[in-house]
Amino acid sequence: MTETTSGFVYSVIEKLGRSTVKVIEEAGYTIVLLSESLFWIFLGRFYKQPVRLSSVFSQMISVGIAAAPIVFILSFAIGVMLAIQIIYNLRMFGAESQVVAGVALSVTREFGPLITGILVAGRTGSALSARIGTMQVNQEIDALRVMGINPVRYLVSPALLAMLIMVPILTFFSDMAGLLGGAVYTFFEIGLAFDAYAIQSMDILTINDVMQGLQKSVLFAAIIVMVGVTNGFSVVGGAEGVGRATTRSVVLSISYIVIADMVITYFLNR
Amino acid sequence: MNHTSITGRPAIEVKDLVTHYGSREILHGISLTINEGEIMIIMGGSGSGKSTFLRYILGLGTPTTGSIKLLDKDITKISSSEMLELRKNMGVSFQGGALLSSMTVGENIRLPLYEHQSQLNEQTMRIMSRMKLEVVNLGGFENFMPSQLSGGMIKRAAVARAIVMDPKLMFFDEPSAGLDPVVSAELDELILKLRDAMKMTIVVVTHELDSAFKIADRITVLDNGHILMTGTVEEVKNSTNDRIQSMLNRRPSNEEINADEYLQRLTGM
Repeated sequence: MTETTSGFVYSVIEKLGRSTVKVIEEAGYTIVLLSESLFWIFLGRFYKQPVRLSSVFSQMISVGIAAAPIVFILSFAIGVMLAIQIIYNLRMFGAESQVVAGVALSVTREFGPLITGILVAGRTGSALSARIGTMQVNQEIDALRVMGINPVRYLVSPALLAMLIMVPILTFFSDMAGLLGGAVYTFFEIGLAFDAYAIQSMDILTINDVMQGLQKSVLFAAIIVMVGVTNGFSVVGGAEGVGRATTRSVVLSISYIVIADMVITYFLNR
Repeated sequence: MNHTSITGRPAIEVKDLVTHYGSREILHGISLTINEGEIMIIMGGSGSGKSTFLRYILGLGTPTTGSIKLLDKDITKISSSEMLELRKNMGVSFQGGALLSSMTVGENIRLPLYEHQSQLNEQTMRIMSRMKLEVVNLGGFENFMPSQLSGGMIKRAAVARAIVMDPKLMFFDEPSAGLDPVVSAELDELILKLRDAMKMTIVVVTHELDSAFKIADRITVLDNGHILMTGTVEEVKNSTNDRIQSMLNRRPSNEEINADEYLQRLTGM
């Protein structure tokens, strides 16, 4: 009996040890990938291996422009939803007209970057992971290496650069769509005109409110790319491995985004 | 089958190569010289270490000990920029072709040119890639996607990509795997053509005996991470080594089982 118990304890400790090592290993790998991709972005051209702008632009289009319609729809809906909830709450105090401040601050500081981050994680993070994972399985990554094309420079750097540029732009676009959603609902619910809504929003919002959201979005962009590529490069085990890596990268990047959001919001508002 | 273009100067020199996978030793001190202009076949069964050997001479892994000299440069010691220069002189045809599936065949073949010869204009690159497609008998297929090609065509397109920079060293990983005998024979012809017309030094990793005997200048037989022998086709065929004879006559090998090790593996203790 005692032997069984101690055997169980050993196996639990062993499992804990193994998973801790795995987590540290993965974090280390992500940091290496991040530093390497930044190296190629800034210094690649001095080593005659520049990050191709054409590749960055094509990624910017698929990350940003192609995502714009869905970002607009979701952010608009979030704006409407916020307005509904805030008006409901404020009605208890007879202060419905304060809805403008509520929507403006919540959208720009929180919901714009968050909804954009989650959406891009689902769209682009998963695609990155699946693409690199498939290339790994088909030996395309090895093929790049033997052709003298660094896979990080060729695959990761353009994605990172494109995301760091496009996610904040998408976030700003999401802010606007969210405010529009709030304005439309407020107009129908309490009859506040669009121009009055816009003027009030501009009065309330400071540069800092918008910047706080945009700063977060830069961090989210980096999280999505790094989680996606780390999982992609770590694929083993064929098509099933690619599927697992894709799912894992979406779940992990959304989790990291929400947790990072909480932490950064805490520090930015001290 | 010795060929006149073999100069006797070494193009690839491997000395005492030891490699590990995790804590397991895979290659146990391999030494091998491959001369300029020859076709060297690396032969061996599954798990003999031949694919591992290829990975290391391609510079895709860092060996535990030993040196690997390609064109007089020790790839275990040179800087990454020297390695980059060296890679321009190496072409590789992977087992599954490994064409980038997001690009057309033509774009795949032009990729090394875009990356390393960006001073060339687009039209020159197109002409160069079409010339290589003609060499592998795939003229007119440049706008196809890899998914639209058959297995044999993908392999030939991969060869076209590998030779677009006119490399001095060419490596093939299991060229006949998964191909029917006719297509496989065509690929053998292509390999001979590359040696004769382009004076390349060629390393082919394979377990296909027919194809190996047809194209080899010399053959190296690997078994469990050791070299059993290196020699011409005749020498290999006439070898008295049991393991080699079993391989040539497709006899299952009778490995002796060590009782202690066997028990250890079963119980995991």
